[in-house]
Amino acid sequence: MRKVAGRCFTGVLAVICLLPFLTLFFRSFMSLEELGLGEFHLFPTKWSFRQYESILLMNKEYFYHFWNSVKYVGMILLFDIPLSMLAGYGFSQYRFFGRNMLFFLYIILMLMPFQATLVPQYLTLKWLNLLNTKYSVILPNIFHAFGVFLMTQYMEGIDKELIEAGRIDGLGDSSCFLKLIIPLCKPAVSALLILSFLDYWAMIEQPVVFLRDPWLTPLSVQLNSISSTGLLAGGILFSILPLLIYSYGYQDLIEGIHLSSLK
Amino acid sequence: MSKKREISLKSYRRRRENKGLLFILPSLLGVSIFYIIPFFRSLGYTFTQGIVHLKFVYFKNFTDLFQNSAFQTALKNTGIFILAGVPILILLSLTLSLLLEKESRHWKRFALLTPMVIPGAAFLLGFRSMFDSYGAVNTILSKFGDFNTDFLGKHSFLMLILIYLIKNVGYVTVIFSGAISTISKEYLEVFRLESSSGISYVRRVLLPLIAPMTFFAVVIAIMDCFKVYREMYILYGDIPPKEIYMLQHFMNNNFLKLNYQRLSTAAFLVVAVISFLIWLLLRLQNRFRPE
Repeated sequence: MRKVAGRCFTGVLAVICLLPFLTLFFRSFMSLEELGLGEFHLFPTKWSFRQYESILLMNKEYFYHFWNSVKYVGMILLFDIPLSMLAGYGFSQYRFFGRNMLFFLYIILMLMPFQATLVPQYLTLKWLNLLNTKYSVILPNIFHAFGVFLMTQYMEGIDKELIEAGRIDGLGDSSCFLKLIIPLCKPAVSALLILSFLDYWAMIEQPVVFLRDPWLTPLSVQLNSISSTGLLAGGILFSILPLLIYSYGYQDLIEGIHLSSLK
Repeated sequence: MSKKREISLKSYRRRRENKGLLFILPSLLGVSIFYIIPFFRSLGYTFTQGIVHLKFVYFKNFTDLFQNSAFQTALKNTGIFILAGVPILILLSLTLSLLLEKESRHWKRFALLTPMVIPGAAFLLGFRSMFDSYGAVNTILSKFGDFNTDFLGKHSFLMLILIYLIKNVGYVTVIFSGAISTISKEYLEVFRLESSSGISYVRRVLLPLIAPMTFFAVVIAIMDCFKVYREMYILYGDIPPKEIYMLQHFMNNNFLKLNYQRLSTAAFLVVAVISFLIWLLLRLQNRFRPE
């Protein structure tokens, strides 16, 4: 009896978590007339692709901002991942002076809300003359402490004897990194890719503050104001990429969340 | 002779360990330029007043801040949000992870994380059509009477808590599941020999074992309270209803008003509180760590 109650409880919560997306999904296939009907209903009485048509065929803005999102996330990840791996290697395999202090600093940075780092980021961007350019949302995110933390946690778990063996066979510090560590880090890299992608794909804070020109903003900021005729379809199209990545990388994502917990 | 050799070995070791810094350097350089150095520069704002002629004012900015009515509202709302949201989130996630431990339903775990995966803007499109005046909830409620509540307008605080819970419950559940799965089954068997109650197993064995993890989950849950800014911004823009005016809004607005002194002072407080929390977390975990 208690078991059944438990199953119902988890089931209900799982459904509640799915509902917003399911609502969006089904209603994106309703025509505008059906949406405007007043009375709420989940399933379309007549499936219609009008919303998708109006986004895909008649809305240039949507593509423009979508492309912005792709560009920003791509650029950030391209630099963030190698930098995080390098630093993770340094933190996990070496015990240099000040190592623990520095790592503590990274942990604090990782957990800091954006608003607390707003002034520092702004000061630097202004100094470098990068405000209101695409670099203002790319550059600060490249140096994200979270990636370094995740990589360090993962590399700490790599067998020390393997590294020692590599050293005895004559591998130097960098070739140790290139030939031993990198091939072993595939799950961690994929976890970091997924977690960072999800975070940057939905970014709001930085573009809102650092970008004046609406043409520069990513879709995560503009989605609601782009199209009134294809709004819900636009939301679905915007979610496809994260959902695909999530379903392919589910195991790695879970692994990544476990890794990023301070144990 | 041998002593000399020992020393040179030691210095060789040290030199080798210091190479680690080289690998961190590229990341550290960026972090210093974008976060650390400007943070210390912005500390200057915290203890000064005036725009052209900076004047050192000791702690006057702090006392001013606490007398500012907008700040008081923001602090109060953020506090209430954390006090209401975090315990519910932790309890809910802990229950879920304990229950899911015995189930092998893959789709449930998958479903729980979807609100985190879908971008906030898209998630809220669905959420909105459930809760606006003609939304799903009102339609269901109107079967029982005359209901036409503007949930998002009138109950924004409640809605925000709900969004916060739905968005984060999956993540925190995964954290707890990870902690629970590392506990050896032997504990359960040993305990079974002495007692048959499942609930007291949870209370007397499981909870103490995952205590350090729980503290970590609390820290994460508090950080996530700050992250709901995204959802608030999408729903309400720069000027939210007064009941959900939070520290994030206060800081953002002072940034837009170019009042860096006030913003830096508030940021300094946030950084101090969070640093203290994390320091406490690390200390606690060292103490709990099994020898």
